[in-house]
Amino acid sequence: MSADTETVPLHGGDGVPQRADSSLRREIVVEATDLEVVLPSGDGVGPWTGSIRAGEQVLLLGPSGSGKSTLLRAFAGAIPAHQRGRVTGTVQVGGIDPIAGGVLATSAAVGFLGQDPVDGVCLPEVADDIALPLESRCTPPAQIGEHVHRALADAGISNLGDRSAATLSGGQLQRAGLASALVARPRLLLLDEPTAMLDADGVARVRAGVQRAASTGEVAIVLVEHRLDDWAGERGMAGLPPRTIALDASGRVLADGPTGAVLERHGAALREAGCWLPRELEERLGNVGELAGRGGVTAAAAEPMLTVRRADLGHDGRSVLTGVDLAVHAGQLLAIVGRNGAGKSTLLGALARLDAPLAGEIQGAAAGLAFQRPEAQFVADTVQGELAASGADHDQVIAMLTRLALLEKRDASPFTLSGGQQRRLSLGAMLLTQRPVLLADEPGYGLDRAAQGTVLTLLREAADVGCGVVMTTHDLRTVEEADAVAVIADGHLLGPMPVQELLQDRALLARAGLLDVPEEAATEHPSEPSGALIAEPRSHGMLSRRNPTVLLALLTALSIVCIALTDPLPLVLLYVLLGVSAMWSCRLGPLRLLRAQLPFAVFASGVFMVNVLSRPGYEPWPDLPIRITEEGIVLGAALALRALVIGLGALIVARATDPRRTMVSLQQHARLPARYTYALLAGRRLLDDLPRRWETITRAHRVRLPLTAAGTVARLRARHLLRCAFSLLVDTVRSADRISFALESRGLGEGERTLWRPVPLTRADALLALGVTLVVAALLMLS
Amino acid sequence: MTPAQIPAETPSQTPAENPSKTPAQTFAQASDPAARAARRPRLTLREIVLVVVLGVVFGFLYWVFVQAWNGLAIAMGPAGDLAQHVLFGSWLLVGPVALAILRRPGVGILAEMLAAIIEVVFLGSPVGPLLVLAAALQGIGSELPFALTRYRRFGWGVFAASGAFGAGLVFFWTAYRMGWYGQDLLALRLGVQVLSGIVLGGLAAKVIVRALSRTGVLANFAIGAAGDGGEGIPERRVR
Repeated sequence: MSADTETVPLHGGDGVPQRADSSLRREIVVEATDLEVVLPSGDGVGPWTGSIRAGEQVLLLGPSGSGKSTLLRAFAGAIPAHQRGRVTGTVQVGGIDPIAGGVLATSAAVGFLGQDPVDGVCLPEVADDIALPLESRCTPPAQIGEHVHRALADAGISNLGDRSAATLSGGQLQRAGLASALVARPRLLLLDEPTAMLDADGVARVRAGVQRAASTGEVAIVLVEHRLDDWAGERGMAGLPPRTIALDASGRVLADGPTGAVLERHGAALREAGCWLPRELEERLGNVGELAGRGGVTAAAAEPMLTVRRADLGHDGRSVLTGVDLAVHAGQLLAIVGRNGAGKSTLLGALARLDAPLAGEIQGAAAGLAFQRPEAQFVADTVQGELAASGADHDQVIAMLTRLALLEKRDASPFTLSGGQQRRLSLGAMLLTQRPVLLADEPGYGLDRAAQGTVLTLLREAADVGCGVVMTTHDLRTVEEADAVAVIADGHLLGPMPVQELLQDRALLARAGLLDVPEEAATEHPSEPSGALIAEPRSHGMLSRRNPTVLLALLTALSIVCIALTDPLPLVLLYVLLGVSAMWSCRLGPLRLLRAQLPFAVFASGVFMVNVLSRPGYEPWPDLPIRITEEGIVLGAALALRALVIGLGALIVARATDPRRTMVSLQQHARLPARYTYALLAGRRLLDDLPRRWETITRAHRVRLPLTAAGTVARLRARHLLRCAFSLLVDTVRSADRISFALESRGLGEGERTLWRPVPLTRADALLALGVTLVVAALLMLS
Repeated sequence: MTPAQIPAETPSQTPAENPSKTPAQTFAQASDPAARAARRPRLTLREIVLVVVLGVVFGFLYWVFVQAWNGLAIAMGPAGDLAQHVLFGSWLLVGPVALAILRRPGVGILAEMLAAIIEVVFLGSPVGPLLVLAAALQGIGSELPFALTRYRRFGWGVFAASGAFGAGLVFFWTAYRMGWYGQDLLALRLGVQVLSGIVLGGLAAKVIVRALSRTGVLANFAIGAAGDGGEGIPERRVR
């Protein structure tokens, strides 16, 4: 590490001098010379020469595609180790070369928090995820608990340590992710749009956690953020990081210096390129907001196209919103606002007729719905096919491609498009279905100013030609584009009301999640239910205290014994014995035990029947029209019992073990390498999330189908389900990229590591193994 | 550093010309990605995680589709035992898919085994831990044709052979375990299973990999580097 802390580092093309404060005397964390990254697409970022010191906070600003994330990922060591790209020049992060070292080596100096809360926590239990970086650094197990609790407290989630990640809200997950990123005291904290999916309250809480880390003065912070006003909070531009590196559309460094000076000097150019700017600066630049032109139709005059009367809305019988009254008018752009989890998506689902109201009624044709993640809704191999799938003819498709500025991309896969292009495509596809009402779930999410303006213009144009348009949002500037706004809070829909009325009511803005409320008044709102279809295998009974590796080994041995047996009698005895011990050791009632075995009982009976009918041998009843042999009966019974015994054993072991203990124990006692056990645990975390993703994808695809003759949403057929399966596959392969990045940035490698909460292997486990062996041996000898 | 001072770095520059270049950078430009991958002795965490994720998502999708399948099996009664061979090939998918993406020796076997561990430990498969053994046999069978081409050819024929071997090799173990020897139907079972392996476990894998590749999500795996013919990274584009 260079020690020349006296010279002022040269920042940026406009020569704005670095503010001469105490941070200059601090250690340099990031130092780069001519750092340039070029991706296979030909897009690039840099070259950047400069340094970032401990305690410094830097805002990385630039339009979409300018390479902000690419630069962060290069700092984190992901290029070229995880992502193909050509890096030239040099960069050091905490004395490590991230380009040569990769994510794992760089993890010693870097903490990273990304955009999607689901990726914030990569193991099933929050505390394990936060402990992972410490274990990787061989922190003595006795000290890990204390560090984990402090990290949880610093992130403001002291009470969530023992929770399963699947039960957390987006805001909670992001703070848990922040705790994981900070627990091992990184030198550099990289934040890549950490608040994109949060309401104002969630933003404030994540920001508070970041500020607490920053206040130590030990860590340098680089932030990429679209929502500057939400991040800055009440303090306005003074709440932003003091230093800004601005990039132009090609990824060249436009400026690097104090935030105020950079924005003052380059604000107009940045806005021109499509960047969001702080509101106070935009007001000074003039032409505030105005993302899209305003429509001319007065809302109330037009006939309502969709009417909700005194409806209770929800899904799976659970009511989320009660007493909803709403009329959607032609020509009107209506915004729906509310906190994360308040029920915005529930309302849209009801208007799109995906869910029938629990009470009350909805009149009018099913609305078209563009989902928050366009990828969930893509049904075709090409951009053009995507539009054609909406039932439009060739000319309409070409006209729409031109209107969406996607004509060049017509043969590309929709999945290869940028975020803004994907959003345009999904809206265009929905517009072509010609449904009278168009719904858009968070249409501006994650987009820069230019892309969001384009999307809002599309929605406005739809309203102008006579559609009713409803969009959900948690962004104030998007609300300002609407003709009216309705607020969802505390299980009710308030309004619609004029936008100005909401903007002047600070209490209501806070209830809508558009304004962060002071810390003491903020109550933790529950997350949307995770809807896990696969029941959490919680441990039950005394076997759950036994070592999972021992249990699995016993089950393996039992399976081998069963396969060697061809005589039904010992198998019957084994089955009865296992059944009794299942009831005793797993606290399973006889009825539940039988029900749990139903699937393999069906299979076993099939095995029995096939053997009885298809095995040659002695026929005890030769007069029957079908051949039934004694050999068939005996062997069939043995084979069927074999399936039942092994199935029951597997059931017992599954109930007695939980994934974490099993994987930790396999690592400890079966010497499975840590990279595999943690990858499998991360897989388990993904598995918990898949039912939710599958539900979103299938719902999104149902909206794409033509309505039935009765005007209801059609069901998915087998080929549609295969499409959904493919969507899920694409989505999870993307997840694989993020999971491996997260695990490596938590230091998971092949080196030595400690284990915070080991699984004991005790004398009781030895006794259990001995007991089972003796019983089985005795049984085999007796029969 | 002003934008005007950008050094004209080009991809053709060799490491010798620029001593500041690290091995990782030349690594990114190596001309033959398959050979490069084969030289590395161990799998990276990224490769392991991809294999696990494929196991998880295929496991989940089987579970979704098996909901329908169970009903079918009950309706078919005794024929349900036979019908398993018709759909057998679909259980093989994860092996050839992982192999075609990562192009590394052993990945096919590993993918099958990890998928089996996921089923046994997370989903409580009624087959028990011996499923891992069956999976290893499937993996060996599936991987054999790819290994014979030294992980260089990924045409329809190799995929079909992979499905056939994947279904065929494990058949003899399953037949022993399930007591199929001595039944009249042994040849029929084998024939149907191998056919299913070719179609659902081989050719279908090729279809899936091709479709996935088109979406761009595989760009940073061996298949992505092979896709652009080892051209490497183009000149930077300036807007």
